[in-house]
Amino acid sequence: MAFLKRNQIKPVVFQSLKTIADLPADPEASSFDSMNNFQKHVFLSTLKGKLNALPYFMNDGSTSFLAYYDIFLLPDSTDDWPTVKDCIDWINDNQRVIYL
Amino acid sequence: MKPIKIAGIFLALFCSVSAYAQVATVIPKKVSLIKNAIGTLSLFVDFEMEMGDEELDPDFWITAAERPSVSIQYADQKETDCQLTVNPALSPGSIGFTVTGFNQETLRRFLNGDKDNQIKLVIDTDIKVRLMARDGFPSPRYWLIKAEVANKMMNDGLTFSDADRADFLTYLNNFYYYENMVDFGIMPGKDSTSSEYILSMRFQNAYNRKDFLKCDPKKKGFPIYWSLDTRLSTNFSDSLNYIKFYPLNFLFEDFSKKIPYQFNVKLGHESSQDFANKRGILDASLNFIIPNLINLTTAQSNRLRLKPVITAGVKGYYDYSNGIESFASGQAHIDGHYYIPVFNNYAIIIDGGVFYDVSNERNPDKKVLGNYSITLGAEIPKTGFKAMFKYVDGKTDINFRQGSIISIGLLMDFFQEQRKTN
Repeated sequence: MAFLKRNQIKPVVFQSLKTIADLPADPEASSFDSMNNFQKHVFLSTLKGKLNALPYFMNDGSTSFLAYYDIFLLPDSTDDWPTVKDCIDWINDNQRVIYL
Repeated sequence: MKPIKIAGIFLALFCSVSAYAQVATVIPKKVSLIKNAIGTLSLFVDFEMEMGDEELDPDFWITAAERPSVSIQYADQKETDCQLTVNPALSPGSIGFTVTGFNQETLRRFLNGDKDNQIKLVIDTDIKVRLMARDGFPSPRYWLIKAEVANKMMNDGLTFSDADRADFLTYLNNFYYYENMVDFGIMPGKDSTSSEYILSMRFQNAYNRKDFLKCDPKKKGFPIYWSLDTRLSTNFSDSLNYIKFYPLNFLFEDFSKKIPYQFNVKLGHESSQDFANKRGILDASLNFIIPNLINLTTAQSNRLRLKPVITAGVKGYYDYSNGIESFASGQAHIDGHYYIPVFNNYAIIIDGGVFYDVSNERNPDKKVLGNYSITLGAEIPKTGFKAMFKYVDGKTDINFRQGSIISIGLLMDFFQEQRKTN
């Protein structure tokens, strides 16, 4: 497992979105366009916090707290993602495992 | 020579050749510096690798002995009381090191062009990583990056310029830009000479942006910032005009709680544009998000239904408006912003507030007063929200006079405004 798979990232993104919005049937097609900056701020902070809080999943399925998952974000990161799907794909490609 | 000893020699030879063949010395494609301004503030030195069908195996570095040794070098031994923290990191296609714990001084010195007081990263041992197939099955292949190669790449290609530093601090400060906006409108008159022009602005900015940086990466500073919120028009006596300037603002926030919030304390001055009504104020308010109240989308809609953002607070003020005897009093207020998606493309934006003034001078009838604006618009793909119609109504909390405005701007950014009643 090691790096988070898309199906592990997706619920983290959806849970973070739920702090600021109710989600449609297909949230991946939604855009971030209408968020105001407070909502973006809450979403990005929650997203990063939830990813950091995950245990590290080893290849054999066990977990370790010697490392954690992280992403590098800026206040306007949502502008780089036309849709929620793009956000999930971006995390999939740009996630980091940080070692303690 | 005994057979068992010969077999042992062959086995040892095979293993060493096999182990040697598994390790390929490679050179990273490029090195770059990535900024993070959300959560723990950090910079990330990233060596991008030329990946094929495999990806880096992060399990390999769980064993601490397999990780490269890396240190922070303080030029001329000019160490600081605030030591930076470095942690190795892996992504599917890059190797790197995250640096945290910056304060003003270490951010200024980190990878700056001045070799005499520069702080830089030094990789002390070769970097060894294991590859694995994308299905997660560990590969027997390893890559080795020589420490001198990695250090040379950083020395030659990695700088953190003053412009980058300024950008980074601006990103941190952007936390407090969330209300910044400029809006311009025209209220047509009977003829072109009697048209009124309206300017609305909201700005916030920190005085001491570097105070966002704290040595402890888990902590973030609470800098002092100023804010301006105003609606001005060429008609100075327009009842909806106001100037609110707060030279001192303090903001505390916590997004880890079940209900994320920002707590804002501000000290400043509020007045009408003609300064007939004016007061000094101290305001404490809380920003938070509440559950949705309405659903106007269809089952086929793929739009997020954003929840209302509420600001609730109390305000103490000293009113010294023209023509009255000065007095001190207070107000409780609740303001809200609600973006309501309608069907697949339309939206209604409601911005409003109610307030209760406890003074007999301003509120002798002891009424809850308020004002609101309703904007109807459409979301145009790739160009964002475009307003088609806006209606403003209510009493401002400065002069308590009623005002209403209809703004019509068919898919345009600039509104044409038309006074309905006053």
